[in-house]
Amino acid sequence: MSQSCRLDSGGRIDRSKVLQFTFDGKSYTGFKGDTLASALLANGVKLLGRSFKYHRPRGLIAAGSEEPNALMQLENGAYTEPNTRATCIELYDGLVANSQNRWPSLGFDVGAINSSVARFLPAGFYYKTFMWPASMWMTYEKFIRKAAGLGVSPTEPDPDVYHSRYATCDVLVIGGGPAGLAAATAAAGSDARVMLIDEQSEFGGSTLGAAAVPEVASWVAASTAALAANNNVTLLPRTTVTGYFDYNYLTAVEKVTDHLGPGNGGTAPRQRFWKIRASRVVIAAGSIERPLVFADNDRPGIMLANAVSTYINRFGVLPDQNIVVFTNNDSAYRTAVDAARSGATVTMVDTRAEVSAELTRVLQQHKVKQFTGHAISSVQGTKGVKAVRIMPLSADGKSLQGQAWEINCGIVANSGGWTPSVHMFSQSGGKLQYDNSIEGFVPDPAKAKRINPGFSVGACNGSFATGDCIAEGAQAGRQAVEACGFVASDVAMPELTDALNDTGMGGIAALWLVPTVHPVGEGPAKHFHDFQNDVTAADIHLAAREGYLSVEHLKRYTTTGMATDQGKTSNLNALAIMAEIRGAQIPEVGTTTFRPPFTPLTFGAIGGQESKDLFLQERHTPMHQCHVQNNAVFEDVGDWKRPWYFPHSGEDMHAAVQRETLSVRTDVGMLDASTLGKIDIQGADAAEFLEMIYTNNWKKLAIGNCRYGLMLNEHGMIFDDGVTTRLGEHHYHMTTTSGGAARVLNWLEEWLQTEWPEKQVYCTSVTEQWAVVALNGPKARDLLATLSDIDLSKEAFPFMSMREGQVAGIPARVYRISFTGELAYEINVPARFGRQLWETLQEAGKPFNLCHYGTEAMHVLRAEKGFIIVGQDTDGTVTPADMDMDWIVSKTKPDFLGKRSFLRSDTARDDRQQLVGLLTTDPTVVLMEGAHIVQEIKDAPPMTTIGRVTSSYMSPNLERSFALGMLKNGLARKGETVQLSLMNGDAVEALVTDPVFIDKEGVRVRG
Amino acid sequence: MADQATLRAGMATPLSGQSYSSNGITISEQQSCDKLIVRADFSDAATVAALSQVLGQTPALEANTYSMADDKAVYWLGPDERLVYLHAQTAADTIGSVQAAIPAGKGAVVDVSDYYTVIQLSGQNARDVLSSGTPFDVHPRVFGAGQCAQTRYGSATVLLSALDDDTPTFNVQVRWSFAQYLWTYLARVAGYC
Amino acid sequence: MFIITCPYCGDRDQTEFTCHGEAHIARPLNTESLSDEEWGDYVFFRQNPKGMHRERWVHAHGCRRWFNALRNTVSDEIFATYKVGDARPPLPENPS
Repeated sequence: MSQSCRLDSGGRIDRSKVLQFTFDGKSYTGFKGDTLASALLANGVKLLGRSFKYHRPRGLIAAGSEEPNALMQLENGAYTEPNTRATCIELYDGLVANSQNRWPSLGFDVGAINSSVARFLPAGFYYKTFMWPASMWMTYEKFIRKAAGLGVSPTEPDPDVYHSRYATCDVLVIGGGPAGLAAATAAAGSDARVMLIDEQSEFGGSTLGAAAVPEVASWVAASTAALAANNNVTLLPRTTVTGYFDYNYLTAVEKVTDHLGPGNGGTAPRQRFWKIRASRVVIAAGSIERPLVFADNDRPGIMLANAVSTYINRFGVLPDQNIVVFTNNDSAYRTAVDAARSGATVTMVDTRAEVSAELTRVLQQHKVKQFTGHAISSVQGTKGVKAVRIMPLSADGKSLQGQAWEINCGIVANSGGWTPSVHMFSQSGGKLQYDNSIEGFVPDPAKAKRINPGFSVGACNGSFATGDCIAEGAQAGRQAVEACGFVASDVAMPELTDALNDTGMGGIAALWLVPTVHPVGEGPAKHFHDFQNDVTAADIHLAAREGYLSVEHLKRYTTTGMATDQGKTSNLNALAIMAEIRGAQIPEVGTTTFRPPFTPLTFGAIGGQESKDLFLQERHTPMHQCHVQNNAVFEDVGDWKRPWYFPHSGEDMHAAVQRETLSVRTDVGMLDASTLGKIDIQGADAAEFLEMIYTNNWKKLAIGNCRYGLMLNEHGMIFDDGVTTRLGEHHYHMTTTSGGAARVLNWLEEWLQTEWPEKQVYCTSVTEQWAVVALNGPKARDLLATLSDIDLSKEAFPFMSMREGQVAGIPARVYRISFTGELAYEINVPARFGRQLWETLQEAGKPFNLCHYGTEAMHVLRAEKGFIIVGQDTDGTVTPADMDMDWIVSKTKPDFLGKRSFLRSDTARDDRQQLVGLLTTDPTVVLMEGAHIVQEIKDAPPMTTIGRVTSSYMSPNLERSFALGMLKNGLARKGETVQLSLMNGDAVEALVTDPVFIDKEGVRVRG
Repeated sequence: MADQATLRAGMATPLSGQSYSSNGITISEQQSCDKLIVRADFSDAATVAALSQVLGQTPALEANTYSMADDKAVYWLGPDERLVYLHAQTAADTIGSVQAAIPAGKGAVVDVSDYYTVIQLSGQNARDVLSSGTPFDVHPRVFGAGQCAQTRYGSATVLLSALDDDTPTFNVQVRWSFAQYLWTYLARVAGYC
Repeated sequence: MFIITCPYCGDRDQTEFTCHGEAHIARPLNTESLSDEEWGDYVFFRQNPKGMHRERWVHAHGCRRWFNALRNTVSDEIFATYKVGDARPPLPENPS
């Protein structure tokens, strides 16, 4: 039978647009305007899932985003998404949904045995039972997670695209109900930028689910249309504000094409993540009805009263012909009337002994039978409600006694009152206060966080009547926009006459735990308050007995409120039940802190466009395309893509690196060194500044000459190195490590700006201004001579100097410096000529057997010479003395950064780890970098570590492996043999040597 | 030795001057121009006067603005820092005269012609494209023609400048090494706005 | 996510800035004559208060200028930002 529960008319659905969908493999139809939940309900499908812990049959509870039960695995394959709420999925043609947490099927679930053994599965059961022995937890956990699982994550890459963006506005209004619409209307009109956000597909908030009041409906329509026509107003339907952060920074997820179905969004992103900065925020987030906690109140068909109204009024679905309304307040009387008007047989069960005569008269008018001072004592039916039994409630509300009645019904619409949605106010850092008149927490405006100025209005502020909501919203919108310096607009008020629709909640008499004939926790029934995490009133009693009395302990012990719904329907009930047990007031138990996100959101949305190739920024040198054409394999160095090696056809990495390394020492090689950090330093005090920044002397450096320098932090530890060249009287060109460029510039500026602002020194980054090619090898001079007008003779252009001239016709600065120990020139040209220089050198180098080499060969070459790489051979705990680099530390300068720390006892002790060379006894063994040098090899760890390998390679020039490492007291241990313990358990022996393996005298570099 | 014509033919920009249109938004790398960083005491009237003489304009003195006259533009980067666009390959000819306008040792002039490239963004949705990557508010009320701002776009540091309010047009200056990343980013989000 | 008022560029998003910890720590001039304790205090020890804190920030993606901020580390309210060398603004009368 198709859509058996659909009413013949009514609702905000388009009956001309029939949509097909499947649930658990079975086909159904619904209409455009339906949610998956309303469409299933229209088809009479009430069993939608199994519960988290006890695998109890579950159905819809709500009609909005607070839904705890109806979690769906939406779609298949790469598009699948777990834990989506059926109430928030707009129906589209071809939708595929499956229930979760059931095996083998929803109707018959093996895990449901958990429910009959529930006595043994109380709160804290898993932790108490499975935490011992601790080593077994890993094993238990897999099975527990499978049994207590929710949906299944997709295993394929996400085929959708997402967009994230920033927005700035004057007034942000959260919630598009009457209060929010009024606020936005008041704020709009002058030039103020206003944003209005609502999670539903259309604006109107609670009015969309209420019985039509023409005056309200037309007011909503007119307000929405006026806002939509205003260019300064951004309306975002289908958008959920997920987080409220400091300085009015809020995040929201807009579901751009979700409602069209997977793959139907064209080029538009699936979702858009908004990062909004608002001067003022008006929170009009509404309220959430909370269930009554009664025996077996989780049976499918037991729903919130307003949800039943919403299905009737908004979706034209009457879920059952026999409906029991169960309430402790006035608001559910609207549901009784809605259901009765739709043709249902309705029975009202009110826990209150006294009810206003007007309400009773209205019920009589609609032929609704009314029981006052009664409560539901039990529910018949497992996979769906068949009947309820009701009994008179004692005056103190603690027991049931007297004549029982049994009422046949398929739906129980229940209301325990309304909980203001204070999530956003709480996330903003505001504190709450308890309002006894509505039995709920509301924002305490006196305890709002100053840096997050805003207002809470309407139901989220405890004002439920439509007229009050509009008035409050208009007032807040006015104040908000005036605070931003704009003129507010007037808000027209609708004529409100229908008393039943306009009284709000009214007359609540709290009954937090509906008694049964058994004491709590005994008897066959369960009283659920947290449906998603399967937490019952008995669990709260257990927590109290075991001493978990504070709300934070209660929450963690029972897991109440910790599911994906964050306890939207359960938190207050849990607090109140605990308060009753303790004999305390609810505020004394406290409230938990609401944390983002308000509802679950996808990682895709958070990432936005910054995924895949935009996940990390990539930096390219001017010669990048040359490297691509030369078949380079790239390595990430900081953000840079640097050629790692250039494999010839048939070569693996090892072969390529060995060839490149050998070629540089026998012929000549070229390296793209453009990534080196470069800083232009000018000013009258530049030399004096360098004296403080570096460990060595700079004042006597001649113009045109270069010098290597070490930078220390104030701890006395090496943090960067590089060559600096004097270009003029007050002008220097500093180079830094590729990864350290920004850090070094920051360091220089920090000292200049905060400590020595009187010094005339000006630092400018010029890293990208220059393309740099390093020519290294015995034939470097001969090659360069074919292209340059510079006198390259060693007398005219000695090692550690710079000359300006032309290379390949390009104006260039050539630095004769070397990171390989070979004769070398670093050719700097303006970046625009980098590619031209590279290609010209490539051609001109052919007669010289010029090779391209990458960073790996560079590392081998420099290590053969014992040149350190800061960050590889050092780790922030290494002094120049540890590196045997005392030669670069001035003994005459009174001060430089880090100097004083040399005298600290820890820095000055002589048994620190120091840089050494390591040659394994077996020359074919390449040590793993990071391998530990140990005092003594033992069968198993722990062993006493006395050092570590920092750099390790196979050298074609040495025709054997070699390594650099840090060894305790290493400088005094050269010639000794040490033991290394490898990760795989092997022990290796190595000889401690000097760290310079090639050309110890430095003849080649000066040649 | 290569002659000037061969040299010019060999010049490159990080994005080869490419251009792209999508959703009514045009993104194009601008023709390269020479650029100078000028560090000086801009609170000193004599220095400002001397620089004005050389640059043909009073260099932008207010934060977040740029000045423009003839073939030069001057962008405020910091209290003692400006960026000069020369709109031609004239850095070598200009640098000496700018240096001479600053008291010796009390400032700096640095040729950064190749350090940056400029991507121009134009079209009705250009502001949405910008707001997809930067938290900086580009609404015309706070960021109109004549204003500039150094900020962040995605993970790149950029200098934004507003050129035209009628057809929203912006220049995005970025370091050479980040140009491809920024281009990919802008072209991607242009399709989403 | 803070809004920070750069004393030079005005209000900007926090992601344009980097924080560098406690402000107003002067580097000692006579480093050689300091005791290990005095030097260690300068290098290693910071106030790290719960409450009002004067700290250094740099407008890293902006004008690259360093400046100081007076921030309540509990509420994250920034009461003032001021240039290096400017007089320290007084503590607020109502810090939270």
